[in-house]
Amino acid sequence: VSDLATLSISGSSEQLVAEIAGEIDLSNASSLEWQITEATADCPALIVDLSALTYMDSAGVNLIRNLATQAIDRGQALRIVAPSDSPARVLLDLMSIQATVPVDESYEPAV
Amino acid sequence: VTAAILAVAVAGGIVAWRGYQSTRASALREIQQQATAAARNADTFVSDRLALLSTLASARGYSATQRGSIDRFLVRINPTAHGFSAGIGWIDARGYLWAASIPIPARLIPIDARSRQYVRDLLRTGTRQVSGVLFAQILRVPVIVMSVPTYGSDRRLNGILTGSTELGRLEQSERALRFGSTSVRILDSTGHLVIGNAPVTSITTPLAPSQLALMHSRRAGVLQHVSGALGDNRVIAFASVPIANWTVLVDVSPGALFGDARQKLEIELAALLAVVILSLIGAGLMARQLGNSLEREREARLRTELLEAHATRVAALPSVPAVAGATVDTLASLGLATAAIYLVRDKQLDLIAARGVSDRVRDLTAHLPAEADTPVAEVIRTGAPIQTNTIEEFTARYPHLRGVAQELRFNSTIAMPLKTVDGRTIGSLRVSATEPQWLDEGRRALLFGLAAECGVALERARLLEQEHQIASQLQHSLLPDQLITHERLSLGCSYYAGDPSLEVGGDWYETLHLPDGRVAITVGDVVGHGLAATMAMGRLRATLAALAPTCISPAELINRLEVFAEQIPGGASSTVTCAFIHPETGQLAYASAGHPPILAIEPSGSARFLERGRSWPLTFPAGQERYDAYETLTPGSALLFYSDGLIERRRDRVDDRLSRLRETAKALAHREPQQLCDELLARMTADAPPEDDIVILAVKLLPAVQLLDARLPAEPSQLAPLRSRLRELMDQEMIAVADRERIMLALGEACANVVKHAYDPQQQGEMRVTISREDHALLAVVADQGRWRSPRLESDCGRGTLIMRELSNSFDRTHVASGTSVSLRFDLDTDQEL
Repeated sequence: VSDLATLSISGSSEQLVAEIAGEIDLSNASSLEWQITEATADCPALIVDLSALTYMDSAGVNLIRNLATQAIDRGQALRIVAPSDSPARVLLDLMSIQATVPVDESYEPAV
Repeated sequence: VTAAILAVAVAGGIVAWRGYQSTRASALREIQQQATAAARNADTFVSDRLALLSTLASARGYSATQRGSIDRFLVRINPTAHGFSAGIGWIDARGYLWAASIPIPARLIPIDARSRQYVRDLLRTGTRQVSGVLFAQILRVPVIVMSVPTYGSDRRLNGILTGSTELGRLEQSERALRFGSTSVRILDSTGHLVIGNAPVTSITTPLAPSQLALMHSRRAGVLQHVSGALGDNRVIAFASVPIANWTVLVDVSPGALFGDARQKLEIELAALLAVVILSLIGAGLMARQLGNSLEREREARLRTELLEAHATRVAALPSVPAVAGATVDTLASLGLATAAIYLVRDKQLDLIAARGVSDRVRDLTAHLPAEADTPVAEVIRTGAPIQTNTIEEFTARYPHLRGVAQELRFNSTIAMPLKTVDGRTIGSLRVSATEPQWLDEGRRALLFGLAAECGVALERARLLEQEHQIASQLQHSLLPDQLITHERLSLGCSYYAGDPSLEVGGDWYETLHLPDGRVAITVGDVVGHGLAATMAMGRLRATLAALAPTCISPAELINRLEVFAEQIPGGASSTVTCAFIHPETGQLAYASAGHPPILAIEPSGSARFLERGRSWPLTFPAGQERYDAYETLTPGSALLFYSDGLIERRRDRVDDRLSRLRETAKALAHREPQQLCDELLARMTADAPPEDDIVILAVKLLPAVQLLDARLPAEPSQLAPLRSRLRELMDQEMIAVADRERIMLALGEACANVVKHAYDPQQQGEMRVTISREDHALLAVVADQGRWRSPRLESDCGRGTLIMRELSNSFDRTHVASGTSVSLRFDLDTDQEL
């Protein structure tokens, strides 16, 4: 994985949180997607936290879409967390991603 | 010539002969007049005497019984003094003479006169009579007798009064009858001589009866070749005297009469003969000379024709080299092996034209010092031609030129100075023929003629070149010296004059700095082309240049220009388009008066016509409303101004030409303005030469400051480093946070698109990113040279495009043959706190 972004996955078997910090672009989106998919395969609920992203482009949007499609296949509950003024949120709103995946301002750690 | 001389001689002879005949005729006329005049005198003589007798007869008292008193009366009259030298007598009505002025013995009275014809005639007719020549019975001399009747108191004829004139005394007393000429004679009706060239003392008949009869029948005339008592071969003029039945003769010899005429004729004929002989002798000599001079004349005529033809040819040539070239061509056509023309320039002779000279010789002789020891330099120094007739003669005179002379076979050469009309030597002309002694008089004359023409024509061509240069400068002064310069603008212009005789036509352009920092760009077109249009456009342009700084908008400028256009001959119906550009902001105001629309070329390479702000041409009609239209130009975009010559072609529809212009301009979008104009002109007129004037002016807005011009491999790994540089740039440019995000994102999408879609995955491609800053905007252009498109183009591109369009203030993408270019403009929130 590149230095561009750091992925940290935490939580329980019931609900995992994947936090991506740094930047997502064409160079690392596929890699991130693969890592998240591998790490969360058997988990019924997944939260992808984009709050710490400093940059994300349409490659990141593709990543979210692909995770959403996969979540449906797995019967997995997927939620995105991106605060209103974050770079990711700007793009996600622009792409109307909420029609596909719920986007939250924040999440309560450890329900 | 001989025939001519003989013809002249015959004509001369005829003239002389006719002159002779005429002189003879006038001589004959003269003696005829003499005869007629003499006849008139004789008539007067007779009439006067008859009148005298009648006066005497009117006295009464003539009768036989009174014969004594009659005698005394008749003596007192003194008949001799009145021409009756043989006396006056009276005869009674029976024919007997009773009284007379001359003494008659009494025993003879009355003398029987009845046998006299005149007595018988008078008594029979009662009318006065003049007798023929009679022999007087008493005096025994020849006489003539005139007689008139006398009447008694009973008024009946009672006798005859007769006056007699002795012929021998008549000649003396009546000399006037003959005009002092011995050639006048008078004959009575039967041919007896009344008056001769000597006193008539006997009755003589000088003419033959037939001759006399001829004269009587004609009454007046001239007889020639008359022979008889008067002599042989006489010329006799005659006239009748009716009152006395006399005939007057003027008798001359032909020699006397025609002598002068004949002598004149003889002299003339002799002179003529002499002339003929001399002419015939001279003709032989002259014939040869005449033949020679005809030949010379023919040659001279051919020479003159050739010189005239040559002069006509060179007169049409506009340049010194053309005149010189045509002259050496003409010389070559005369059979000359070589010809060369030199002109003096700065103490040096320059070879202007040459024929028949090898390259080596041409190089050797292309420039000669004025003091060179060669014929072409020498004739300029001396002003006199130099001729040599054999190669030996030439090499003897110019030993150092032996090589050239042998190579070019200088057997006959002549070098001549070239002079202007006012006699200045401006150069020299040298020719050579390979044949020795080739230069005869005629050829020399021809060559001198050509040299004279050549000198004048060269000088004329030189002046023409100067004039053309001046005219060209004057024409170009009607257009701006140069385009304005501005740090934010790049300009270029191409011009084509439709009239081949002019360098500047009716199209014009002007670029100006306006006081408020804007620039005015204008292009106009005066109706028609040619000199009149050129002059009108010069005035329109100057007027516009003067007005522009005081106008706040293009529409106002056009309105004010229109007022002047009405007063400029040829200015009506001119079209003009004006644009005021603010280079810093890209704000554009434009207006067009009947002019074709400005073409706006975006930095991305797309192009569109600016169709608004349009109105009719100047003064067509006057006083119409003009409108401004507004645009904001993207830095990097260009405006193309042009005249209708570029888009109006007879064969093509204007719409098609406009489309072609737009497409051509798009293909050239990334060229610098000057190249753009030149290339557009070339491409738009490649199929057919332009029919009208054409002007093309391009102005390109330059970004204020270029922040970045990066060429990167089109790989995903390049995206993050690029973003880092961009962040630094935006820090440096102190761009607000909100702007930074969208700029970063939109630009990232543009670059990602290149990485994903521009190139075949197997291919190494490049992307070029340029970023520049305006006062209130940031401009980014991302370009590639790729053609490959992934199958997912539509959805992926659609997503990226949406992002770029949404996050930028202006998005433009152009696909051209050379690749794809995306332009993004971001208006900056410069008021926001950082």
